[in-house]
Formats: sequence, structure tokens, C-alpha cells
Amino acid sequence: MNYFDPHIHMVSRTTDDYENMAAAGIVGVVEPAFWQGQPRTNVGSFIDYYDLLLGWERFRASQFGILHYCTMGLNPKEANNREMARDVLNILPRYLAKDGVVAVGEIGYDDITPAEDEALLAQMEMAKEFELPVLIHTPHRDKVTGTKRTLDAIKDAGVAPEMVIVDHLNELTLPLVLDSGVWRGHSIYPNTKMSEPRMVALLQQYGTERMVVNSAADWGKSDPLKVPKVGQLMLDSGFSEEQVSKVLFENPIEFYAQSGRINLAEVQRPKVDQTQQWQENSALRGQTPIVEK
Amino acid sequence: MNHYNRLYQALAQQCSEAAIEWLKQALNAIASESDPTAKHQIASAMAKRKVGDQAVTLTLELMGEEPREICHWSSADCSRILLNLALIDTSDKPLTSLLSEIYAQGDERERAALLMGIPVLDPDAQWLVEAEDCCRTNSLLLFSAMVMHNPYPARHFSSRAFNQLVLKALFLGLDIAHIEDLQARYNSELSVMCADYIDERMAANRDYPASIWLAMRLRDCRPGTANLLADCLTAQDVGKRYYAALALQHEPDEQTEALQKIIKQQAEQETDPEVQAALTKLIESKRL
Repeated sequence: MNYFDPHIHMVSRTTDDYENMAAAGIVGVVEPAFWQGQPRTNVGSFIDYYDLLLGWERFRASQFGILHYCTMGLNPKEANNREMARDVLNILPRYLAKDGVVAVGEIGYDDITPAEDEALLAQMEMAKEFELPVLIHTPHRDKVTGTKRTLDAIKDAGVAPEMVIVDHLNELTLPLVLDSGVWRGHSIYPNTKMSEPRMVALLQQYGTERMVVNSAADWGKSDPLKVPKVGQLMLDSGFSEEQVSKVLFENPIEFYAQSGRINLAEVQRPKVDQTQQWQENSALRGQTPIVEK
Repeated sequence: MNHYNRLYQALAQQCSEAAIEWLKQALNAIASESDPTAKHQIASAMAKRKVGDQAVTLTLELMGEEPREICHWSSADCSRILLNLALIDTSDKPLTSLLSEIYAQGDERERAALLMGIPVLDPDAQWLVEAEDCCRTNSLLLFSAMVMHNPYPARHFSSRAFNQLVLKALFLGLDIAHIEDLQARYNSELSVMCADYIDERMAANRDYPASIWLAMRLRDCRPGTANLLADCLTAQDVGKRYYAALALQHEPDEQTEALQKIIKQQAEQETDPEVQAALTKLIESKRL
């Protein structure tokens, strides 16, 4: 079974994680730009971090046969440092233009402040300009209010609901977004957020349409294998392989495919050792070599 | 016709109308607006999405050489090289700082396009120090872009940098037959480095790259190396047989009677047509 983790912070994971993820069937990941556990103090730290997502981390993933995409954005926590936030928003367009950047994100609310409002709105405008989907994080605290505010902000910004995924949903907030037309993201965590059994229960109650599941694994206590683990529990609970594939592979790729920078065929294509393609100049047309293992 | 026009013409003939319309606007914006660098940054990043990534064929004269057909640059690569040329043409900044800026702000594919196109962008090697430095990359994509089918390193790199490049290509599993003018840049130090690499691999019970013989001359190697090369002529691995036969074409003085016997015997039973052709050429050159 092929899996896709549409929200995971690989810069904080080890090569063992990559190995285990590949062994569990994860063929691609999306790494949203987010904060670093402690606040950054200047825009240069963002530039290096964004370059890391596009460069070294993508390379590291490729060494394990995993396709690595990312989203670019200014997270809500650091949006509250207004001076730095302004500098970050100024450099953001040049990153939104890059290949492999499949959405604007993760953006949204943390403390639900006016500064967060402004950064959210400005970045949704950029998403429209660069024709990119948007990954919106819902806050850990005051989650119901934050989710409602998020839906209002999407409407105010005039972003099409099918271009948005609202993430970290749970039993209380999923019903709030059901009628809005946005995609529904759920993060499965060892202790906080959602668990596998609760996720399977939501899928049984609400179906598989526009439903997306991720591990959101980072440098905290988290588990990069949560997507395949949900897959196993879905199968054990009577879901078909097609249904598992829809929720844990096709749905997230279909959402991000609206960026024009990822598609199902690309993620499913067989891996090749492209160093061999240099043997035949003709086989190289339009490509540059990559060793895929 | 200059490089700019040739690149533009090839793209215009081989890409969609919408793609060319986008490219034309981007080129005009870089040429006419007050902040060409900002326009260039966004256009270069967007080029693959807007112009696509399909095969393009074009003929260019690289660094004053005879015209050559290039078919390993995609439409995205060609567009990015063209956008880089447009920025170089407009900007007041020195070429070296411009190229460094473009490289620093590009993603892997944008950087690869710059390196593939470096004979066009920097024919006089003003950016040489940085270009040599680019070979320190971990990325196979970037390294290949600079090293494979690219005349720039052989023309401009120091011997030390060129030798390092050959060894790194072998290390990464690339076929060094695609390094341009390898034979012209041959030096004895290269043989020593390659022989050491073979020793290191064999000491670890690992195989060594078949094409390594192209960077070696027996006269510069320890005695005994000739036997290793002779063994390759009859090896099971077709790559080993092929490159051994190819390498011996550069070694007319090293063909002892014993070696010639092996060559003839192998030619009689060789099943691979390419190896067969290489062996035949070897036998014929010796008759002449």
C-alpha cells in the first residue's frame, strides 16, 4: 500500500525515521514551513530555513526514495513579531514561485491576535496571486473560536474553499467545516491532537470525501508512522483498500495537485537510477540525473 | 545569431504559444523595469510551471567552438538560461556577483540550469572560482550539470580541480566517458589518484567503476596495473569489457604480445556489439 504524509516536519527527524517511513510504504511527504520551537530573531533565519526545505531536506528524503515537497509561509506564532513578520512577508513571494512548493502554509491563528489576522490575510492574497492552495493550521487553544474565525477569514479573502485545507481538526471542529467546502485535515499524535481509533471513528461517521490524515510529526513527541498506522486500523475496521488509498494517498495529492507542481502519476512512477541515463545521451532529454533507491 | 536569439528561437519553435507569451513578457519585464533582479527571481522560479519541462533541441556554439547540437537541456532549463542572459544584459552589476546571486537564490533545478548553461553565461570564466566551488555540492543533479556534457571544466578548471572532478564523478557512480575533453586534460596525477581509488575499493572487497580506465595511463601506474586492465577485457561485466577496450585505444605502446593475444581471443567470442566494435578498432589500429 502506498501512503502519502501531507504534513510532517522532516528537518527534525532522523534518517532512521526516513528508513522506517519508506519501509512502511510512505512514498511522498509535504513539509510545511513552521516555527522552530523557539522564536527566530531575524529574516535571515527564515531564508536559511526556507532554503533548507527546498534543498538539503529534499535531497535527504530522496536518499530514501521519498519524494519531498513543501509549503512556504509565515506561521502565526512568529507573525506576532511585526517587524520581522513584515520582512518575512517581503521575501515570501520568491519562495512561493519555486517548484516543489505545493501550497502556502502553514498559516492561521495561534493566539488570534490582530497581527495574526494581518499575516493570514496577506498570505491568502499571495496564494491567489501565485495560484496556490492554502494549508491552514487551527490553534491548540480556543480551537472552536479559532476554526470559526478561520472560515470567516477564508471567505473575507475570497479564496475558493476547494483551495484550502483546514488542519488539526477533531470531533468538535470537523463538523464546523463540513459545509464550507474546504478540505479536512487531521493530525494523529501519540498523546495530544487525534489518535488512530478516534480518526477511524470520524471516517466511519463522516465518510472519506475531502478527508486527509497526517502525522504532523516534528521535534516534539510524535510519530512519523501515524499515516500507515491509521491505514492498518482502517483495514482492520472494515474499510476497503480503495478507501484507505483514497484518504491516505489520493486525497492529499489531489489537494496539493491544485498547485500544478505535484500529481498522482509523478508520485506513483517507478524509481530509476538516473546515473545510468547518462550512458545514453538520448535518454536524458529534458532531465537531469538522480539516483533513486 | 547570438545565444539569446538561438535559445529564444528554439523555445518559440518547440513550446506552446501560451508558454512563449509568458516568456516574452518575463523577458520584457527584466529588460524594462526598474528592479530587474526581483522580476528575474520570480520568473526563473516560475519557468518550469509556465514553460514546461519537455525536451528541446538546439544548436549552439559554446565558447567559440564548432556548433553542437544540445538535446539534454529541457524547456525549463533553456528558459532559465535565457532569463539569466536577459538579466546579465540589463543589470549594472558585475557578472560574477550576478551569477553568484542567481545561484544563491535558485533552487536545485535553477542552479542546475545555471551550471549547464555556464559556457553560455560565462564564456571567459570570470566566475571560475565559484564554478569550481560548485563541484563541492552533495547534489548529483548539480554536479552532473557542471560535469557531464559540459565543455567549461575542461576548458577552464585548474588541473587540481579537474582531477577532483573526475574522481568525484567516479565516486558518485557517473560514467566519466561523458566528461568532455577528458583525454586532452589527462595528467599523470590523475592515474595515481584513480589507481589509489581502485586499491581502496578492492581492499574493501568492493567493485570499482568500469569507466575509471579512461582516466588512467599504464605508463603512469604501478606495475601490475596492466594485468588488472587485461582481466577487465574478459570480465563478466560488459561495462568492464567495454571501457577496458576503449581505454586501450589510448595505450598504443602498452600492447604486449600477451595482451594482443587476449584482445584477439576476446574479439572472437565477444557477444556485445559495442565491445566487439571497440575490440575490432583496437586490432585494426595496431595493424596500421
